[in-house]
Amino acid sequence: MGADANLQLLLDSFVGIASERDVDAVLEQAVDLARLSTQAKYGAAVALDDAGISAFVHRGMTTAQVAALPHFPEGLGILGAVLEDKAPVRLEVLQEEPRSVGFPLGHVPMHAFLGVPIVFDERLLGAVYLTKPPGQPAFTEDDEVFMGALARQTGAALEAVALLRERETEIADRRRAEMLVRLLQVVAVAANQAGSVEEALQSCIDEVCTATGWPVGHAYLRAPDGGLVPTLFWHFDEPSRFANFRRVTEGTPLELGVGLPGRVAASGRAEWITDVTGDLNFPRAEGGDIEVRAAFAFPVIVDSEVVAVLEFFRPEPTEPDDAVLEVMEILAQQVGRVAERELASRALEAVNNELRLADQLKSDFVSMASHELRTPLTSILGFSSTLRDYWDATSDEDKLDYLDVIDRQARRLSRLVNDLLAMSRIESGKLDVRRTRVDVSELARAAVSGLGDAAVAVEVTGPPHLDVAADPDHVEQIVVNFVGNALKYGDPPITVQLVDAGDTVEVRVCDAGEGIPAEFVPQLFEKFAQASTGSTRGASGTGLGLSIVRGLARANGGETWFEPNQPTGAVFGVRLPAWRGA
Amino acid sequence: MRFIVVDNEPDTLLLVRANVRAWGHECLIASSAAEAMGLLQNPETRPEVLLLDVAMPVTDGPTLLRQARAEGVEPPIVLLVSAVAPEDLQVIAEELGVAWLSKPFTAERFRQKMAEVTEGAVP
Repeated sequence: MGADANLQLLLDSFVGIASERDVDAVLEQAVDLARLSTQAKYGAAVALDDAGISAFVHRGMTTAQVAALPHFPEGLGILGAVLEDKAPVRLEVLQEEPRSVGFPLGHVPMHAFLGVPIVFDERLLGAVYLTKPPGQPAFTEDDEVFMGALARQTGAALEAVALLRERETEIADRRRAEMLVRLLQVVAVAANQAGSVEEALQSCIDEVCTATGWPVGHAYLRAPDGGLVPTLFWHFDEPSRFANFRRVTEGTPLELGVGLPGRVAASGRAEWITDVTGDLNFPRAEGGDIEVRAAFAFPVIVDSEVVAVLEFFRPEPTEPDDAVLEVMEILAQQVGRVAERELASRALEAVNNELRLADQLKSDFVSMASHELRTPLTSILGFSSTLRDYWDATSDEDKLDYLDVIDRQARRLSRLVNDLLAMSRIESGKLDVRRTRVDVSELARAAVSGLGDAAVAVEVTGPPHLDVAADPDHVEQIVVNFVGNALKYGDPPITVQLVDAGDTVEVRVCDAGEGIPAEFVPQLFEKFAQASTGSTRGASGTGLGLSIVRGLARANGGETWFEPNQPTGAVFGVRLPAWRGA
Repeated sequence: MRFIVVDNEPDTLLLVRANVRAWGHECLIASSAAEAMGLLQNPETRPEVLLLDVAMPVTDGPTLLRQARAEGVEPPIVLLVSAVAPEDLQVIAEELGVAWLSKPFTAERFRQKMAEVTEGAVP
């Protein structure tokens, strides 16, 4: 081939090689041009990168011949010699070069050899090799010059491809970074709009699957015992394809530290498994094919506790992607914040409800107390002013009756004020409790002796001595209240039963009256319960007695209760702690 | 003029009756809505004035008044008398379209209120 033709070829090669965007294509173009220009039957080329040979192309051989070629020699060989020398090697007979390692038997016969390094900017990027079978003319100096120019052009093309690759990688990295940032935003919005933690988990699973293209997402929740329980929160691109994995997962609760969710819960960090079937701590893969291979998972952390683990799977083994894991840890924090916010708002709501209830109770109490105070005042104010206004027109007998009413209602008012004060002390926890050894049997007998009269005897049954640990004044007040109520509202026989119940002592006051209507029982010990139902039989009650008694019993570590008596009547009981020694 | 006073507090019944009698009028007493309904339905005991407590066991005052209206035995003058908070009493009385008197009250206040609702006919 003449110099002009070579020049034309070289020019063509500039256009051809420079337009390739792939290392193999550049090398193939270079080898083809070289073969065309030098009449070489066979040609090859290699490209290098930091790790060694990154591409190796052959031309002029059949596929079977290429397959039969030895691997590019680890040692020198004639191909390595070109790279080592970083200079052209031109031989008439390939086998004469001492560094040649030869070819296996039965391979194509080779004789003349020309190899030139591909160098760009003084960096070795690869080499182009040409050989001819025996009987063909050896390579000329012109060939070597042309090949040198071709190699330089190829070097420039390889460098362009490398830059293009770098740029493409940069673009791909940026796209992925943008995808992850978008994922963060989408999940943040979804999580913030979620009405509940469950909703936030579900939308997080969905968004991560959509953004990463991983077809399976699932949540494990932390159980109170620290283990992890599978949930019904899933994302599937193709549900039928992962039916077995779903079944296995939903049947596999995990202990802390066990399996992917267990490990994530224990470490509090995101984790990645390249292939779950090769993982020693992935129990779900032990029972046969589970349709998934790669996995990553991250924790949802609330108040520095892992409350849930979100896990994602795909059917192909996949190497860890640190950027994805990093983003997942940020996601985990966002979902955790939603959970924290919801817990806080639930707590706040509970406190608000309590306050509202307390406010309502207080307002109810004030209005009831006001009503109860107005009632005796009506008689006191009304009769005293009536006496004053109609003194002369009123008979002496009526005057005495009116004064009796004033006297009785003034006492009622006084009791009411005392009870209100007692109630207030009990409720504010300011009650003075002096717990000591009290023989409740003796105390009850003494207390009732002053209450009954000849017509209605109160009988006390049970052991003659029974000690409780309580304030004696309070115990007396409780017993007197119960017996007083029985005398006022019940019918005889009225008995006080003392029962040794081991750790506690029970005092039961029983009567045989009408009993208490079932619908009234739940509010029996509430303030003004009597007033609200308006029993007319004992106008002297303040409606606070049983409520105070309950408060006194509780302040002494005890409890009060009511039960119907058989066949009729009421039983009011108090249970107090037995005396256990000083 | 005949009065009926309905209240579950015996002392209130006694107080109202003492005053009404001091003005020279007749006063019947009822300690429950059922008792009062009996008096309202009986042509011989139908009153011109009904003094009605609000909070009573079994049937409260407003319910009794509605029942009396339904049966056409509502007296011409009705006065709600109650120890519930005055602002609450006012709301209840206005809903029913009747006059009201808050407990406690003096003999003088009772007299004034009665003069007002009877336009001077009583005392």
